[in-house]
Amino acid sequence: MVAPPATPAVLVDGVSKSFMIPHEAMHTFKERAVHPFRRTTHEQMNALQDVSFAVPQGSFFGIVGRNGSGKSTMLKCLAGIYRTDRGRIFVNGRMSTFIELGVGFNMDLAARDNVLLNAAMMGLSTKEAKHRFDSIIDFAELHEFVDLKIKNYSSGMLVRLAFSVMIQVDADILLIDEVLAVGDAAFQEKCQDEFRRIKSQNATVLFVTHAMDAVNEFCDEAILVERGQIVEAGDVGKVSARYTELNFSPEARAQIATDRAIADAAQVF
Amino acid sequence: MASIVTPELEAALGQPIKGPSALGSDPRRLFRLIWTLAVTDFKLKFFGSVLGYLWQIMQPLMLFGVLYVVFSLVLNFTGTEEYYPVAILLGIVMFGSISEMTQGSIRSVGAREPLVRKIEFPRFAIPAAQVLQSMFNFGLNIIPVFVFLILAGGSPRWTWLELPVIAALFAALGLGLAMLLSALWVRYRDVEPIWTVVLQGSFYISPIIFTISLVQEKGGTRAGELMMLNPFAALLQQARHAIIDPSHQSAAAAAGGTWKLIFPLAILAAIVALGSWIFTRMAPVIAEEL
Repeated sequence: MVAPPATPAVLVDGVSKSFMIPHEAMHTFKERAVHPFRRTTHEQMNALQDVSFAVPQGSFFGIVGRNGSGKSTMLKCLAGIYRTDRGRIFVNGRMSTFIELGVGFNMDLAARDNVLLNAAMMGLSTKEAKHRFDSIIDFAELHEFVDLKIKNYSSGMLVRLAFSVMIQVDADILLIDEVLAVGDAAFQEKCQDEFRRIKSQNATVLFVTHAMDAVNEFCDEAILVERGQIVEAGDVGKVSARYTELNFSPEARAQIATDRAIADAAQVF
Repeated sequence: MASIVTPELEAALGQPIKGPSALGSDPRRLFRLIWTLAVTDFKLKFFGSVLGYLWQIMQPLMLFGVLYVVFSLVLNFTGTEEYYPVAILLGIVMFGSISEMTQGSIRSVGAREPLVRKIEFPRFAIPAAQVLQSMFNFGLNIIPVFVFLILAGGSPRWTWLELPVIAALFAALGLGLAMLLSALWVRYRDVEPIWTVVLQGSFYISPIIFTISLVQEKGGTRAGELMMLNPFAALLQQARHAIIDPSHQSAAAAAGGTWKLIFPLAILAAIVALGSWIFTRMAPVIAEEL
């Protein structure tokens, strides 16, 4: 008898996602009433086209790609923020998403209330959140400022608080969108330690980034997304080599040149 | 490309994820979110200033003062009912509450954009939290109604126990409208000014500053029955009957028969159904359309 194949933590099966970008958006009832028969024309932007991949359990999985390649769309589909047009996504375990740090923080509240608020958003119960409060504040090193409204925090303190809340959620699968590049050097070091800890605990991490050194250091496997399709998958070395190649391809250079020309033109006006 | 999912794999993985929806997949988290969002905003408003509660009830009380002087003393709108001033106050409190629920909800999905676009968030929690918060405020604002009633010589009655039922129907009406308006706002931004006008109009076609007996006297019983088609007016009328004094007709009496209460109740149910239907349909695409 053949042993059953290991069940992946995340499986993406033929996912497509496109956005309809109207040329002339109608945003009011008034416009509808004034132009009842006008059909708005749309441009279809295919952000993801028939993407399939499997993320093995316990792996640190990188999703890399240039700006606008579709990697963040992929992440948002995985996170349940966007609805996919076609295809299926299977998630095997409890998933937590970190696309932005401090989502739902309220600037007029103290750290204490914000931690509880954020925990509710992450799906923790109030009891669990209270239970973990001390370790969150410990990690963020914010003991003296627990009762200060967070609008009076420095941006570094805010980031530390947000990151600490985030890592307190024990999910089986974590979706992370380049939140590594935050805080001062010492805190970054701590975050990296935290990532190593998560990795050693056998949680599955999907990590979206364009920082190749982070991919090389943490990831076991990666995929490279370009124009909504996977162009390279598997070995991290291969993916990162291909990524560098893409970035310095004539095409990419041409695009950089156009961007620069547009920026220059914009400056003239 | 062929699917990479084999039947064995499919059995092991279970159901694919559904994507964004109104209710999400975890009801306990949904309720916790509604509760936490509502309590947080309520606390912020309430404890934001030293005189929190005073400011909270100041607005309805001021409006009440002005309207009382104009309609009771100057224009003599007083009907045959007892405790006319307290009845106006109750009308103002209930109208203020439904305004807050709906106007607060219209932009709520946009105001909480990070929640919609950055995490998996059950969309229904947003208007529901607004309605819950407004119901907390309603609970506070109705206290002066009882205080004034007692001061004016009214006494506690068993029918006060109807209040939770009326409040529940009232919240359902608010929630239906909140879902409808907040979902429409995603596509049509002028819902907001339109609704302001609608609210303003409905202030005068509901028996808020005048009583139902006055309507019947000037416009005949038909006018009173017509007015009771509006679920808000029917709820207000019943609240006056139950809380203030039996001399205020019950909603059934004003509507011209208990069975005729089917109409406002059906309209209420239709608003809730339409609101849920549109909101559920919009929920999966809110993140893209904002």
